[in-house]
Amino acid sequence: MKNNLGEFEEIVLLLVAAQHDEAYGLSITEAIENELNRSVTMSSVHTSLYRLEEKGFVRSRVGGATTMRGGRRKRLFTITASGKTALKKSMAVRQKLWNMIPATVME
Amino acid sequence: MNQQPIQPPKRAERFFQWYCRNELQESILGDLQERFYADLEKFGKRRARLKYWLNTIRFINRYTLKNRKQHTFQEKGINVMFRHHLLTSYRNIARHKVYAFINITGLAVGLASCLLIANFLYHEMSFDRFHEKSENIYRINTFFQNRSGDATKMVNTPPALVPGLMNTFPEIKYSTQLRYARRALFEKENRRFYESNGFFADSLFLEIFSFSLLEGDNSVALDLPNTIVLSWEMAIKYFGSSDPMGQTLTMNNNLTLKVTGILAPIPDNSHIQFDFLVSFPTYQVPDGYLSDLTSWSWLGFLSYLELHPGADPIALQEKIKQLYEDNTSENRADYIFQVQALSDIYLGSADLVDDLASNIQIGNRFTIYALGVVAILILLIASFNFMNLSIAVSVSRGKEIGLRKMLGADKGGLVAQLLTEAVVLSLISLAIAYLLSWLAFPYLRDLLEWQLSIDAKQVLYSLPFAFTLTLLLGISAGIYPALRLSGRKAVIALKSNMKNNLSAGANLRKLLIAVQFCISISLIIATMVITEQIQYLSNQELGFDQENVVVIKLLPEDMNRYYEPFKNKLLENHHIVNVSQSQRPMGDPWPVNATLVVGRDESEVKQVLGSQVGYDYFETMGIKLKEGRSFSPAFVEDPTRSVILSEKTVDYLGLEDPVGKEIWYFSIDGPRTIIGVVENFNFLSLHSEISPTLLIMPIVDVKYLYVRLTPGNVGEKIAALENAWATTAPDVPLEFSFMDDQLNQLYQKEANLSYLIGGFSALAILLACLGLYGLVAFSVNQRKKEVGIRKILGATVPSLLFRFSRQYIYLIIAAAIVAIPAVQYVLNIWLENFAYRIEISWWIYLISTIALIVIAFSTISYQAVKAAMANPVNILRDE
Repeated sequence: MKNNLGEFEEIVLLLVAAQHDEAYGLSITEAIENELNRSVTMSSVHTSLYRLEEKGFVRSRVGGATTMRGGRRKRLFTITASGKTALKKSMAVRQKLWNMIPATVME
Repeated sequence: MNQQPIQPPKRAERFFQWYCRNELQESILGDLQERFYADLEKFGKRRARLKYWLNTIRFINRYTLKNRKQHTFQEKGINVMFRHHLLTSYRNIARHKVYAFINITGLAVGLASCLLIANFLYHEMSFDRFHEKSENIYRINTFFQNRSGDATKMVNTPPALVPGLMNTFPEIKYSTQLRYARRALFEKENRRFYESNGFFADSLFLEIFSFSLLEGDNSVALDLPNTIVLSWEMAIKYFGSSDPMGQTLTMNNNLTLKVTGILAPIPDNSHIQFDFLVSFPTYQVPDGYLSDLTSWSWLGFLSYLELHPGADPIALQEKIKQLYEDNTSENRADYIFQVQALSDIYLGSADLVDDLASNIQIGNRFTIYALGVVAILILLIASFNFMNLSIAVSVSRGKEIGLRKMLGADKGGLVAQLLTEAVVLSLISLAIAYLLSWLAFPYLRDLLEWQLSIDAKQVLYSLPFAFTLTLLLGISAGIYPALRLSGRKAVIALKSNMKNNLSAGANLRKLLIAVQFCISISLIIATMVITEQIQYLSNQELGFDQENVVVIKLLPEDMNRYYEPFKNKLLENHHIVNVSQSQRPMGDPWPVNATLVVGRDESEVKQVLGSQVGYDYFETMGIKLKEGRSFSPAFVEDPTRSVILSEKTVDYLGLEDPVGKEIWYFSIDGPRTIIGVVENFNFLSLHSEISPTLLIMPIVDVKYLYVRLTPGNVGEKIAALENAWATTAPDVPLEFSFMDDQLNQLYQKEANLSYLIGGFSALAILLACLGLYGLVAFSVNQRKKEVGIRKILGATVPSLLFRFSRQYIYLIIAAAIVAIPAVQYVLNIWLENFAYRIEISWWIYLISTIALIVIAFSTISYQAVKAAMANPVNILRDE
């Protein structure tokens, strides 16, 4: 099951895709906190990003520095082709399951 | 004022840089700092700093941690230093081979003993904890006081109790009772064996306890009459390789039992042990018993309860008492029911009597405490040795330390070095200790009949604890010299002033040695007292002659059939002195029954132990008749109307001129006449006082046959016995034992305890001597020059010897003064366990002190004499 997406990983991967080319550890942490109203530690987001990188779903490069960061550069993440496939697959699975729900249930 | 911009905590940053991979550092630190400024605005400085710290710590994981193979320059440095410390440790061990050897062996032996003891204690304390519901399981015990105020505590209960409890009290989930099925003869085709190790039990028993079945269904296996579950061994014994399930087995010649289950092996640490369980509905009260299963007075069963979690066992005791009173008339026995937790049963039952002598294992809390204390003492002695020697040896390294300091070693580095050395030594000892304990375990187990095995799991459990302990030991042995030596100025250290070096830690060392002497003296005294007490017990007059008596166990119906012919056959042989029979053997508890002197008020009923015995019983056992006569075939009324009392019973019942008086006891058709009085005899272990005892002729249930042989040449007589048996009762298996062997088993536990404490004490004293030897060897070596000068100035060898040893002898005397009262206190507590006990006499204290002085002196003198005899020229010429 090495290349399966966990629930949290999926969120992180979605956000990497959403923040196209601007995604880095803290930005995703903040997005999870603000958009999903979910408390999360920075380290778990970072860890998740490294794991996604290991699985080949994201790619990282070193990006811009700001004074707020004490002149330190960001590590920016972008989604890879196999990351996109994985996201699509997981959406398809969900869609399939949604379709299986009889219309009356969700009324 | 120049306002400094607020910065993230520097220390946290440095900490992060220390552990985090280089390639990730920049991006994460950037994120952390960005977050820090965001937090600063939201929560203020304090919270933001705290959060920064927390985040730094949270980031520790396998992605961020540095790969240890890639060293930074600093790490390499640390590693090199550590390797250097290891190397110097090795060199030091190699240089002081003798001391290192003494140090390592002493500690290894000490640790190994502790590991072995810990393993045993762990086993003893783990009893019955394997049951899933062990927290909620209880046993009911019955306490009663007869009207003269003697309390008897029994593990047994009346048979009406458990049916009465069922569905009565909401806190009881299940209740079950057991009836022993000892001495049962099982038969399957040609395979006939006695099995003495089983119970009658119902399915609830398997429900409450986690004894599982390999085959069969726990919940129904014991529901129907005439069913049995067997141990795996027993199944093989009777059914061989065929499947036993559903097959039948004959019990006691008259019951046909169907096998409905195979028991999984009973764990060693279960207080109940059994090979088979017959379903409780199968149980029939034997003919001739005066009670039945509705009795509230017959203490013949074992009762267990499972309570709902959170139920109050104390409150239940009261309710059970009420239930008992509601179900019995005014004239009841004064029973008090105790609800005892399962976890307390094994160790907490030493004062309880089991009227049925069931196969229940009972432990001894005192043994646990005693061994625990011995283990701690051994560890103390071993670690004191270790500390003493480490301190002493390190003192001689003043020059080395001074040189290191001069070359720029800082204090921290020196402390680290000296600590590493001590820790390395202690860890080597631990490794050897594990090896030693693993090697010694099988011997110890066989010697002491321990029912336990050493398994990898236990070693694994003990390892972290033992490791920490050893590490602490190493550190505490190393810390004193480390701090002391490293703190000294290089110049002073280099001058290597003798006096200065020698006095380092001298007081501490003396104190440690004094404590070791205290422990040694205590152990010598304890060993002597325990040995003497056991000796005393085994030399006690029992009131009967246990030598040369063969005990044969039989089923009652076989006894009825074959007793007379067998006896007649045997008595033809002139080596056979007497033959008799009884209901209960010596060494097992006898049943208690109500006894009343005829003509007295019912309130004067007293409880007396009684057994049923055949003709010639007193002659066979060697019990002396004091008054009257013994049972005789010449009097027809003897089997039903006569009774013989022991002297103690006469006093207990308050009889004067007892022969001819009448008492009520187990009476079927009228009271019994006292026809004789015998001298007291003690058939139980000497833990207990002689109890009031009486004897009547057989009614039922006579199982034990006794044959008194003439002394000498046992083999030939046993052959005659077997021969006689084979001709009279060829269809019954013969099982016999010697009475003295059986009775010796009563003291086996104490004997084992004395071996154990004796053995480990010897070890402890040996360790203390080893330490003393090393220490003296070292200090003599340091004082070689002093000795040389003294000799030149005219000192004699004896005076030098005295000079070296006197401080140790003073220490021993001081230690004795401290140790004796303490050990006396503890031993007196132990002795109170025995009804027959020795007084600890003063000479034991004297002897043990002198013994220790002698041991210490001979340890010292070897080294001291060697130094004193040496030619002073050889010592003094260099320098």
